[in-house]
Amino acid sequence: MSKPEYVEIVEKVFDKTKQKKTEEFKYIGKSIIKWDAIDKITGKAWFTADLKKLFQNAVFVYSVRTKYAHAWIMKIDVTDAAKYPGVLKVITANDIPGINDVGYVIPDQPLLAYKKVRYIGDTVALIVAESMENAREAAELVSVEYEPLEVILDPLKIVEWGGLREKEHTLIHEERGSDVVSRYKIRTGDVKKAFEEAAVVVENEYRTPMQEHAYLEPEAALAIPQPDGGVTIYAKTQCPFDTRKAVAQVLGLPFNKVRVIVPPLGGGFGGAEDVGNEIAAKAALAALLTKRPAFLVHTREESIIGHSKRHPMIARYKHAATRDGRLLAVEAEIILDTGAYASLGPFVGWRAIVHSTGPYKVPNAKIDLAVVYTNKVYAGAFRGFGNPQVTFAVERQMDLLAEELGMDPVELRLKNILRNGDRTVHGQLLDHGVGLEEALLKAVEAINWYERRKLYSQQKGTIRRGIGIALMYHGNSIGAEGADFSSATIIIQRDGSIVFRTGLTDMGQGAIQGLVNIIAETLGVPPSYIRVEWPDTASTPDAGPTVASRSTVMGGNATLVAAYKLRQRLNKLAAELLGCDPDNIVINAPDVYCKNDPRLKITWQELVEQSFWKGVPLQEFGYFRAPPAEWDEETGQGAPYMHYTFGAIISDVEVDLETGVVRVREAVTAYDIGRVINRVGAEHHAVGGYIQGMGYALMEDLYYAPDGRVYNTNLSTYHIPTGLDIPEKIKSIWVEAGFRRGPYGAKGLGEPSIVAIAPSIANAVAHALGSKEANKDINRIPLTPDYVYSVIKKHGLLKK
Amino acid sequence: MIMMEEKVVKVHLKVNGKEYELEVPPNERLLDTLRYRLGLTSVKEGCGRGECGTCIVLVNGMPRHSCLTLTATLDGSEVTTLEGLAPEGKIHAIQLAFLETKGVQCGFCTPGFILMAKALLDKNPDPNMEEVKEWLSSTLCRCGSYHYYFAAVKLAAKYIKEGKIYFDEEEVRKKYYMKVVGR
Amino acid sequence: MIRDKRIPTPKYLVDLNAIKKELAFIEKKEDGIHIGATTTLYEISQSFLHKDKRFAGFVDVFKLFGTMALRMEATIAGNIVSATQYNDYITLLLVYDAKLRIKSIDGERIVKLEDFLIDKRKVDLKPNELIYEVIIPEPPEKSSSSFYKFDRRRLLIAGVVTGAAFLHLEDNKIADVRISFDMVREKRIPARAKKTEEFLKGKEFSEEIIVKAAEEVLPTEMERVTDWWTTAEYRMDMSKVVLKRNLLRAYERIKG
Repeated sequence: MSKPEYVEIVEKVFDKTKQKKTEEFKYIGKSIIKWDAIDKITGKAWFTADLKKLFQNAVFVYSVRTKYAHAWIMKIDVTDAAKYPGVLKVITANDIPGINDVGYVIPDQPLLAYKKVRYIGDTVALIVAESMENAREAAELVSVEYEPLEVILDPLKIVEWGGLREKEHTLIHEERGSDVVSRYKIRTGDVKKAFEEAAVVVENEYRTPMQEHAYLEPEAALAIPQPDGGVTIYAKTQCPFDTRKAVAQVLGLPFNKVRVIVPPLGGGFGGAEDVGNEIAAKAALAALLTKRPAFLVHTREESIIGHSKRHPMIARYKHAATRDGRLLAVEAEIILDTGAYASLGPFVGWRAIVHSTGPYKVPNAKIDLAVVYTNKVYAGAFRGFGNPQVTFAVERQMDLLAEELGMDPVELRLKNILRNGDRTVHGQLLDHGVGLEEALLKAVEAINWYERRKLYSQQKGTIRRGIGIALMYHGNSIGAEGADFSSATIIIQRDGSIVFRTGLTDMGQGAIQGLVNIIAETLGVPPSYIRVEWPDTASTPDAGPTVASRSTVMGGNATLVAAYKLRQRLNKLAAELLGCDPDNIVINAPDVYCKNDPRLKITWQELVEQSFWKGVPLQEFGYFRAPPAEWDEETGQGAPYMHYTFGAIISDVEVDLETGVVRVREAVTAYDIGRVINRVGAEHHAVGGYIQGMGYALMEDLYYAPDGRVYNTNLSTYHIPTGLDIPEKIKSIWVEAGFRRGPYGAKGLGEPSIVAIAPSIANAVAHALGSKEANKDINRIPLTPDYVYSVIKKHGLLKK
Repeated sequence: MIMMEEKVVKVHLKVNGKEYELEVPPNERLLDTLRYRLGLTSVKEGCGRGECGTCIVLVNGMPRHSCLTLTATLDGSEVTTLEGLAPEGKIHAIQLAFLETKGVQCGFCTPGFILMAKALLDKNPDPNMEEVKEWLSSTLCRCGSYHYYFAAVKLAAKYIKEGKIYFDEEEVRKKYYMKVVGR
Repeated sequence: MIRDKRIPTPKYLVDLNAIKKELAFIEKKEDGIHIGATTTLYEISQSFLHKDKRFAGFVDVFKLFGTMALRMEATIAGNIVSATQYNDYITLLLVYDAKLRIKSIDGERIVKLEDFLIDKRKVDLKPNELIYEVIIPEPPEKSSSSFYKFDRRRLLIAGVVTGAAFLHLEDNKIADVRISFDMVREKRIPARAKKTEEFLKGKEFSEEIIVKAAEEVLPTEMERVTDWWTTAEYRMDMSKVVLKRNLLRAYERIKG
């Protein structure tokens, strides 16, 4: 099979530019004011809920949620609620014209519960009323008879260690006959033999929390009924095409009658996937049933109980190594708690197992992973997608191993990291573009690792410093999770300005700016010529979901393909007009000229005008599909992702031994992202990802009452870092090892930016405590003051 | 005294320099008045409880969580939202500084940060970093732009000290819209 | 609270904004410092209180209360009538033996803050009354205070433990000491740790005596609770730490 044209284009551009330093590009890798920044500092940007002001006759939609986290629904009576003043309609499962399901990966999640409720956020009815107050008050009148069931919050009630067999328990998903959503494994080499022959073995159990995205914009959707029975929805969603699919299914409409438009997002971080589908479907249902624009906006409390979270993990890890520090084997059992519904759990589990041994050469491995249901809020996508959890365990294991061996943690890692020419644990050959060693060395140098490590090791007293390192790798795009394609449209207007459309969303971190930079560089026009349109399923081709750090790589490739083709056509026309070779055409808009004779020139606008006269089409649709991923279900062997982003994080912390309070003082992040495309966005990820990861490491978790209610449903009890919690300095370092199938060699950074933060902090805390016994107890996050203090107390570390 | 059972309360407000005679229900929050009555959607609702700071506006020059404030209590007050920070067609030095320091990510928290910066610089035109951090930490930012925002306030202070308060919005757009500003 | 349906919608809402200016004051009088009910925490921070080391705890509490924006909205009396363990100014004012002047059309009365607080969200205030001012007896020379709370993050916190201490030294002898916490036992509202105070009073100030008070005396009068946020054991241990840190800091402030 010959190579598709789009792959050839991407490789050709890479080969042509791989020797070029990033500084030499005109737009690639430059600090550019983001496309949406001016609208945002003036307060003019419209977020979804802001559009409500344009629809004065909109009705309000309010979700009536369950009172029990696990119960049979015996009867739902909405008679009184329906009669309440201002109420136009009370919607229950019976009113759904299509299929009552919004499950992301498997159909296990009704939009409106009718038979059973499985977590405290399940919706049993929707009130549609003239005002939000009316709707909320009427909600009190919906009477539901429940038959409560046992509430299961501990995944160890579902499966047990030693094979992760399912235990006897009250089934949460009786319709599926099992509460294990999916299982994955890796089998390579001879683990038994490796452990027998190993000089050193370390083992431990690890726990990670249920992290909440806490984006500052609560979810919102606004649905407008269309004359033809269709519906247009403005919604906070990362994935307009997935949202359209979910809404179409619920409404029983063809895709082309459901139009989803995405205004700017006030943060997403993976959290605006499933819930986007849910709120869009709710608003659309209300709009179609009342024939009026319907508006839904969550309060913070509804947001916290009603949208997906990061999967908590419990894992047991065992590492074997030789006396000189070579990794021999990894054995692990990993349980991911997906809460009440699968959501993206099956994919999260898969990404977790792929990364479950870290960025190291591991000759022997036996890993088992199960994704299980509980009655918690459902867990889905969150920046990192299963990788932060396993990386926490792996990187803590590496530090335990280093201690056991009496080696410096950096030295141990240097002995085992993946380099060019190595194979991953899945047997995937990494023949180029592995910049992990460079990232590690640069980070070590930037923070003066050896000196600080030594200095801190000698501390006495109550306040102690510690320094820790963690490495990571992260597969780019969605790999074997699904059809991995993206697309973009560039339309050059007759006046020379350019419209850019893609179905990928900018969650605020600037992904779309990266695509603009690619267009600008490729076409030779300043980015300011370009206008970015909102993602719109009716006017942009399906770009796939905005997930998995795929915007810059996948969206970037599609954009590059479109821009490249346009450039070829423009070069050809310019060559004809100017009388030189197409390869000789320089576009530096507004100037277009022949390289060998700059006097032969034409303006960009003239060239565009001529294209219209000469019949040269100036719109192009770019498409890119990733090479199919390979994955053997039985052995975990293959090539799960097209390539990996690598990173090394070092954190310098301060621990108050009397209180257990940990504060990060300084940090360095070094990522190999192939090529820096969008410098501002890259820094935002490095710094912002660090801060979010610091929250994960030190303060964030969702707490449940035994009956499944969530205790911390607001931002005063769900702690995220404030401006006073951040380290004084977070230095970002870039390594550009290139990637032949990335646009100009680029790889993704969205998710990688959080993956190794927590273990770097935990390793630093362990270092500050300076005790071998305590080291093993730093095995869970968040490292809250009370937990850290309990470790200090248990090991008597405070006694001088 | 506000009669909670009354249908409406008359309130005279000056918002962003414009006078309004409003009739609002006694329990209406300033947030809703601004967003839904007056269309001033730079005022955001992130939590409704005074925790996130995205709804901060200036009431008689002082920061105020509009989600914790009943409009009925503000008769005769002057309210400023981000839309009114500079005269029509202008951009305030603080806004420009936020733009130039490149901290804006999703932008949902940005209005709260900018207004807090305004309140601070009005009180103290030359704040030290500690004061900047203390004041600006009234708003949460989940994207993690704090460092950038703190730097922006210092830059804004410099502009204001130099007497550069307002900038022409069109010129700013021309000069900055997707322009290369650094390496 | 009304929106969350945790309290019913009241029939009337008295808007104190009309008399905000009248009730916002900080004055030094013969019987002590008078702080008007609607004085905001920010206004207090701009007053002489924040410059006088005898009131150093006011600076501490200010920096730990909510956020800067909230400190500009929150009033001293608002903090007091809320009457929960999270109302930091109560904890601080308790160590100043603060009193409240309460007024109604029937007249006025003065009540000790300690007596005003009945239980969580329950105070000695009739429907026709309002707090007019807080009165703090002027502390002697050679005295200072300290307020402390901490949690997972620095700001917007309830605090694992909240504590305040007021210390008055004569030479190096503890002439007077007052200690409060977000709770001491039973009621989850701020209260004084009086046994510990009694133990310390009259003794020579030393690190040893502080440690002894924290480790041996405080636990005899304190009972902490376990909830979803943390454990009673941790809260107890941290109460000791907070006590030590507060007293040491107040001491250093007097000496410094």
